[in-house]
Amino acid sequence: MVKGSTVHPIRRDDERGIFAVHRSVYTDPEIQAREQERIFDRCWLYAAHVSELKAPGDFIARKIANRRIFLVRGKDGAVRAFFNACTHKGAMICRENKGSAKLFSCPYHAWTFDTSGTLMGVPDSESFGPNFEREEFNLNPVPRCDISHGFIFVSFASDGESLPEHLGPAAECLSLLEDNGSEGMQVADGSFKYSIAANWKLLLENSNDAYHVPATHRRYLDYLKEQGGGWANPGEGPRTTVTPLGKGHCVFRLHDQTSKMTGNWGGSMPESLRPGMEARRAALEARHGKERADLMCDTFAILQIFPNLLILESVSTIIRQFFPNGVGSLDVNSWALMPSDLDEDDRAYALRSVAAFWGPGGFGSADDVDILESCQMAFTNREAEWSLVSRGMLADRPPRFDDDLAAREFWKRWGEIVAPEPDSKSNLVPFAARGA
Amino acid sequence: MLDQLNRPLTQTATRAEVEDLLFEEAACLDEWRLDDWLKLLTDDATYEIPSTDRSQAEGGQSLPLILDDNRWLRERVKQLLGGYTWVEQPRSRTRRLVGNVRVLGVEGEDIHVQANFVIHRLRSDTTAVYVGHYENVLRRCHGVLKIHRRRSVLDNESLKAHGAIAFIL
Ligand code: FES
Ligand SMILES: [Fe+2]
Repeated sequence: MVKGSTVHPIRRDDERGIFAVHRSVYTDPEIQAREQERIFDRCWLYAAHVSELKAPGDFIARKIANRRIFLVRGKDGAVRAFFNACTHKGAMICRENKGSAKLFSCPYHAWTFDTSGTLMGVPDSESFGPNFEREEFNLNPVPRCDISHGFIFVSFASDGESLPEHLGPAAECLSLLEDNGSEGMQVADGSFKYSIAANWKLLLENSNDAYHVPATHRRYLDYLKEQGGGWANPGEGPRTTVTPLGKGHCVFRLHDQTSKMTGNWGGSMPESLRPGMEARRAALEARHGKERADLMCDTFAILQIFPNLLILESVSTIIRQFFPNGVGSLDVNSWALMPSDLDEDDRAYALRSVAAFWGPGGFGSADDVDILESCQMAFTNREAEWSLVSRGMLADRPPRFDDDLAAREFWKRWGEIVAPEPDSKSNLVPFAARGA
Repeated sequence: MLDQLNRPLTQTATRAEVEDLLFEEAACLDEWRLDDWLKLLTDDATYEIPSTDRSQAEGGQSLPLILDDNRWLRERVKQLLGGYTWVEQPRSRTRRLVGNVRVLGVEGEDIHVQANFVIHRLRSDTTAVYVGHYENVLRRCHGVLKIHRRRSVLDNESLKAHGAIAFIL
């Protein structure tokens, strides 16, 4: 499995509490090629949020798993995904990243398609001969496109498990997010588009790893401390729960939080936001009951959806998605998600709070970028072979949010898909046994 | 906004004066003299970088890369000078060229100026180039020209070559 050897890239010994990943998974182009083929060419992948396609004719162009696709809401209200390639000679027919159109006219020879992909116009079609059938040249749809609670997913495989089968109980987490807004949820204008010179799986692991926060984000925690806030030690402070959702998905929750745009005024929020926040909470309680409203308003959830989607809640919420761009680089796209009934002041506060930590200019994520790049640089040390993902394995307590549980859930699923050969305990060398 | 600014220019600042300020600012930032840089700002200065999407949304209504009020701006400098901002630890080398300085107009005590920038950031054997323009608002404090609002608008379509923006752009 590991290049040049028969070693399996995941070592797992549940008795001794060892879960280790061979670092070739971050550097080996063959593993990368297999990921592309078995994960990105097949799995359900997040593509957009329905609020980005409000009215018939609204479209967005996206790069998903190295394809250039566009999504458009048709006259019939349905959302469809197409390959952004003219059926004539391949020119990109959707040239803007977003907008609204009744028809898409190819700039090359002016073939024209409607919002359901139907070829409507072919200049001088007679010259294509008597056997030319226009309906054979409708736009090529992305093989599968489905929506779960406002989150649009696509798959480039025409067969395989359905989106509900893929998501399983993670769909309920998306439903909870959808309910956050009494009048629906809205992706805000603007996005973070940045890259990290690191393998894509490093960002996956980093995004749900609370163990790194005190060290990596010390400068931000120092600031919070000065402001009278801070970060509780694991096991102290607010209740946390970690729930594996199967198929590599996982959610961890920080309960008993004091401010969230969904409807929890508090912390350092300005007094002017209070009435709106309290009204939103009351509306959510009336609609969904107190328990569900509490979960939406008082809990920060970090939702991991295999393979490459994280929805990260704090005071406000971001959707973070990333794709490999070669074995040693990844491209991130992030959007802010918020209740669509926020007024201007609320929205400005929410957006600012997203940028404060999560963005490439924030007080948090910028340092993650640097640390992940340093990991990737250090992987050139091929003799230093293994990374450890064992936290919490033998712990005699419920899983904690600073354990590696979410990462292990990811790796197990990744292993099933990319490296299905069985574990081989017999040649388990890393860590405990080393040097013995 | 420019419509309101198209009034005849009062003698609030000459281009030479504005250039002196912006060039001195560039030197402070490239030399990591961030405490000196703060002295070029008004006490209530703000710092903003809109997202690279070029959203047309009104101020505050689109996801910013940076939207620092004065407290956050000072905090940013403090963190950059402290030892735990890993992304600038060790510090990058930057070199900025600021030009095409224009005084757009005056509105009350606000002097609106625009200037282009090209900033190279070099670190760990890689070079990233940030290209864009400043939309700054200057004010006079006891006769001294200072930066009141600093808005760096990037032409880069993404930060794919950059990763992050931690140093002051
Ligand atoms: S390639 Fe589109 S019309 Fe020819
Ligand atoms: Fe982090």
